[in-house]
Amino acid sequence: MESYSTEKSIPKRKIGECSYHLCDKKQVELFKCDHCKDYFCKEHFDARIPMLAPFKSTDIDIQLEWEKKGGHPCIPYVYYAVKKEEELKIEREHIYYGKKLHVDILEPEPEIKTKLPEIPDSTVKETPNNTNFGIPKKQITATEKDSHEEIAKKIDSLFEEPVKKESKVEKYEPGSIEPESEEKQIEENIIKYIEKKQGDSNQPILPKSENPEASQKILEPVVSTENNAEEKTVSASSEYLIPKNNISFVNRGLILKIIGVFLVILLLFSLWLLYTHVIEINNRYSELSEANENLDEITNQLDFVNGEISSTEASLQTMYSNVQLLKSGNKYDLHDPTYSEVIDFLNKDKTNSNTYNPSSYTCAYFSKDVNNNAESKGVRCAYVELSYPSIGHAIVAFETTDKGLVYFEPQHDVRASVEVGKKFYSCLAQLPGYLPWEAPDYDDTIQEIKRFW
Amino acid sequence: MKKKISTKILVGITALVIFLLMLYYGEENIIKSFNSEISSRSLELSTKTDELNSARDNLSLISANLQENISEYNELKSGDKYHLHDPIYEELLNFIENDYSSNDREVIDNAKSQGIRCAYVMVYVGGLTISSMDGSVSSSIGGGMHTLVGFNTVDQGMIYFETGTDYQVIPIVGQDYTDCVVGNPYMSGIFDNITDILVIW
Repeated sequence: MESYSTEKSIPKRKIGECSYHLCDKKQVELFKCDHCKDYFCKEHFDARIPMLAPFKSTDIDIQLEWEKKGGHPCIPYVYYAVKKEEELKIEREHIYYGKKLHVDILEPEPEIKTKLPEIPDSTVKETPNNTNFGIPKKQITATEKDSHEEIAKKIDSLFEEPVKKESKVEKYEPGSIEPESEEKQIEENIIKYIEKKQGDSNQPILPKSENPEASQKILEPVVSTENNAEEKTVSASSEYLIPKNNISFVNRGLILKIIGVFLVILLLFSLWLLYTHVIEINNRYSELSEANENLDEITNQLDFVNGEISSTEASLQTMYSNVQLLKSGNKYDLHDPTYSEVIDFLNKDKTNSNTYNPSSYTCAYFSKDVNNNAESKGVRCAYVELSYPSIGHAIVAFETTDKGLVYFEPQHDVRASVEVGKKFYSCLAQLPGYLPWEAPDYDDTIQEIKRFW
Repeated sequence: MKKKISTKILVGITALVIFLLMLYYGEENIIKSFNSEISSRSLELSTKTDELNSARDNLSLISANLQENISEYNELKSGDKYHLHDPIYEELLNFIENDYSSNDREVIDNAKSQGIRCAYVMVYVGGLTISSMDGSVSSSIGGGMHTLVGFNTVDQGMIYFETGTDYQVIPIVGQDYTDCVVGNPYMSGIFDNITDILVIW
């Protein structure tokens, strides 16, 4: 691979990342491409003619060349290839004429005045014609100098018109082709050239631009190089006219911009998603807290209600038992009788026929039996205790509805009109057919009357 | 240099986006977990709510039943001196506890005014009787009568109380009265053997 390097200060090797965009090697030994000046790993060091999408060519040679492994697509390499093809073409054409003319004579080089790099080599000497062409010619030996000057003069005389045309272009006057439009033109020409190469590769076709001057600029640096390839000198004008890695940089920049915009949009979208998720999580958390609170509350209420149910059931059970017990018990409905009802009851009651016994059946027994018998008949009756000074006595009483409270001596069924302070025997009613009641041998003066209903 | 910075920025943004997407994925899991938990809680809440409503209905039913029984109980135990019933032991204790009468007659009147059938009870105790040669009673030592109130409870039978002390007594003919008082609060007496018990309703 021939090198056209003019940046001698840049080292040809270094350690770093391969500039080939499909290579992911990092921190490897890199080699500088002489055409594009970028650094590549050993695998991608070789320069290759780039191909446009869809990376297919009808030319089998180009296709095979493209499908070779290794190397990197190199735009400046295109110029080199063009130049080589042109040289071959010229050689083929002049074989029949027996003489090979210098390429500078056939196609005069345009004059480039701007941004010529200074070449520190003091041995390099520019001729007046070189200034017109803008091509520093390096490493020219002294013996060749005269012959070269003569040839240059001839070239000047032969190509006076083209040089003038070129000088007009290179001035960049207002109205002429601007550097930016030139760059665009260059890009278009290169793209057309590559497309052409891919489409029809039987013969190398030089780019045909609508602006011949611009296309001339593309090709001139290559053509105007010193014919002697072994001297490996290149016109400094190529630095200016053909931006190094211009198209790849533009495309890559555009791609990076697109990717960047896409990533920023994706970033914003991700942030928005996160934001919505955070809000949703907060909502869910609140909802869960609320659900937990509700659940706790419901659980507490349920426990309380269950407790209430248990206690109520116990109460109900007790109450039900009590009700059943009360229902099973006897009911006693009493009434205050009429006087005639009392008389009737006493006539029917046979307690008075019992025999008095001072040790086993006394007045208390008579009264108890009449009282209990009366109440068993529903007649409300009272057991009455009469207190005498030394002993006492027991009788019964009824609260009649017509004659009020009436007392009866149950041993004889005799009504007694008892009053405190009276002798009891004097309170007894006279029985028809019987003698009046006699006073007992003890004091029966009534001191107190107690009624037990 | 510019290209490298841009690439670094892009790589940084990409890493950030990946990180954010990982966070998003993590949050998605959290949300799923939350949703699952909320669903579980909601289901549990729904179940508990149904259970609570059912329990409330049950409580209402039981309360209504209890109220009905209480009403019936109150109706059964209600009464006056003309409408009496034999009490249950619990009712009797409640009555005794809340009655502060000091004598038998008042206790009986109070009980009957509440519809509780109550008896005046005379417990005869036999003293030492000294008889003459002809069989007539000449004198006696001790003997006499203890008065109580009695209730014929429907669940525990006859229950006797001393009205002055509220001591429960289980009088049995042939036993000393002091031994028949529940808790034996009295010292054993002499000549207080129970000879007869009169229950006057």
